[in-house]
Amino acid sequence: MKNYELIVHPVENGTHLRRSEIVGCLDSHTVIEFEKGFEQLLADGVTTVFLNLEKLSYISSAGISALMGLTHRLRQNEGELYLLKPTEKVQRVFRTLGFTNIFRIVQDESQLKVAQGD
Amino acid sequence: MPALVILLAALLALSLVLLVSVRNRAVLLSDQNAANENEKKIVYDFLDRIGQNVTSGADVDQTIEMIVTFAQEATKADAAGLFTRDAAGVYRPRVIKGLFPPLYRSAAADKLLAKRKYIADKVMKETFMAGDGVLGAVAKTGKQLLVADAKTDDRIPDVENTGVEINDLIITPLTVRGEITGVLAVVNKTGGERFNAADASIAAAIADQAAVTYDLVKLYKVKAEQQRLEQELALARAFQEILIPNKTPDLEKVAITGFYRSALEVGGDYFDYIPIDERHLGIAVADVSGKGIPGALVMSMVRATLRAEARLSLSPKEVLQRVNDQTAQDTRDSVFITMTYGILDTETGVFRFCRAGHEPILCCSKDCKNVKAYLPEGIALGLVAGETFSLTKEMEINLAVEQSVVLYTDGVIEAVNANGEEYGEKRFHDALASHSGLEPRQIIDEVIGDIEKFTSGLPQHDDITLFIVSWKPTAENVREERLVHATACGG
Repeated sequence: MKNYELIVHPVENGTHLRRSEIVGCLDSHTVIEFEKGFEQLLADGVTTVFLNLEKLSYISSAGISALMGLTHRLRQNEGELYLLKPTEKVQRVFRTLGFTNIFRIVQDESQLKVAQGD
Repeated sequence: MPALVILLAALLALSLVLLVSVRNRAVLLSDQNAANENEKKIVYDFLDRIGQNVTSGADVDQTIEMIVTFAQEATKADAAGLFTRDAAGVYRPRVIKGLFPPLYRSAAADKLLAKRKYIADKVMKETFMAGDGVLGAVAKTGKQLLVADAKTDDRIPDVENTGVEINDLIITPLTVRGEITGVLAVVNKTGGERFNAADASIAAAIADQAAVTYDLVKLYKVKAEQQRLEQELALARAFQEILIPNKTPDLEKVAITGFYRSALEVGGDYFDYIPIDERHLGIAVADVSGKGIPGALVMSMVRATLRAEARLSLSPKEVLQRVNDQTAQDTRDSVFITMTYGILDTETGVFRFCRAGHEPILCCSKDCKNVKAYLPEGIALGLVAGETFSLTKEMEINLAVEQSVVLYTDGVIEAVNANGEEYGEKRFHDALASHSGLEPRQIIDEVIGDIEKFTSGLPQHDDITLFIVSWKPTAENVREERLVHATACGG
């Protein structure tokens, strides 16, 4: 049974923005596929990523590392990774690790519009 | 290297076995008047070559190449090719010698095929399945095919389709333990002759050897990978064992009781006791985000930095800030370490601590109903330097008599049962509270027992570290507590 999927939506209005979502779990087994998925986006010049985490059921330290790596790479190009609507369980992991101070976590789509306008 | 020696020895042993079988085959051929002295010589030459090849230390790929070359020479073929099957059932060319026609193509060849170099390219790139063309037919049936006159055989594509004229051919299956693992083909006998039954017999003997050699190649690769992983695991374990203290400090007023068990895939837990001065003891529990050797190396680096910095300050936050700055410099962006570092005043029972992204610090008294969890602000080590990390807060617990601080790693709460459920914080806190009337050693035994009962013997996926620091009910501690009103931390 497949327990991971990364859905990347089409590019919007010629911007460097991509909306995407993870369904399933992000652990040491699925993280390779996740990193591959984003490698292409980075190669295409994408700088801002909205990653919906509503359907992310579990994240391990390997998954956190991958999100951290992606954040660093986007920031190197003055971009950003926005994590949208993590579940309470995932939010708890972010809080424990202190990542709420590092990641841009948003619960409301309207905050994304602000980011889009940046 | 030992695996290679074993492999070479196995090849030699197999060659000897084959020698007997080929001798028998040769005798049989002789009996049937189907072989002459020349054929026997070819078979013995082949075995000599295999033996020399193996004893001279040639690797398996070179050995397979030698086998195909020998097949081409021994049958006096213009070309020879060996195709092997992968896990998905796709046959791919492994070694091609001479101008080998693309036998498995059914569609008309493009014009480029008229050129020799394009033919070679095509043959090396193309694949086939069992049942496709003549090669596929042999791969499917497992029966050798001898075509002495290709012009009159409909199964053989003509020059229009292959770019190479085919006069005659022998295709032999490679079979190991009844399973077809590849095919060996020789095409176009040189010198105006045609392949005959004796050539087919030689090809069969050579294919036998090719089959066992190829089987060994696969076995060797699997074994080598297994060995590499096992060695890495053993090394990481050894590393971790060196880094983790094997005994707890023996203190007059404080009892420290710990439990540590590594997972099969060493999980990167680390804990340490660091004597700072005669009165203060540094206590650290950490979890590195990487596993195996990379995780153990990061852990060793963090340990060295922590041990150096711990002796310079009585502020856990200051120590962690310095460790973080060093770690952030030395590790990749995505590597992080969670750690709780605390300094225990072994005279007064004051425990000052900082939480760098680690699990909450728990506190409970004897016979407590609820465990209290402390989750001060704190960021995992190695990710952000300077300002952002300084958000990390320092806290203090003044331990009362028979009161304990519980430190652990996520392996405790993330232990999983057969239904995929996690042991979780609630079960963990309940287990601690319900056994809080016991001695620290017994509490740990009960909690670990509860986790084992929950997981019902399923393999442990992450390291488990759990230890309890408790203020002993010594006469002196009790007397001092009457004098100083200690901060209560658990219901």
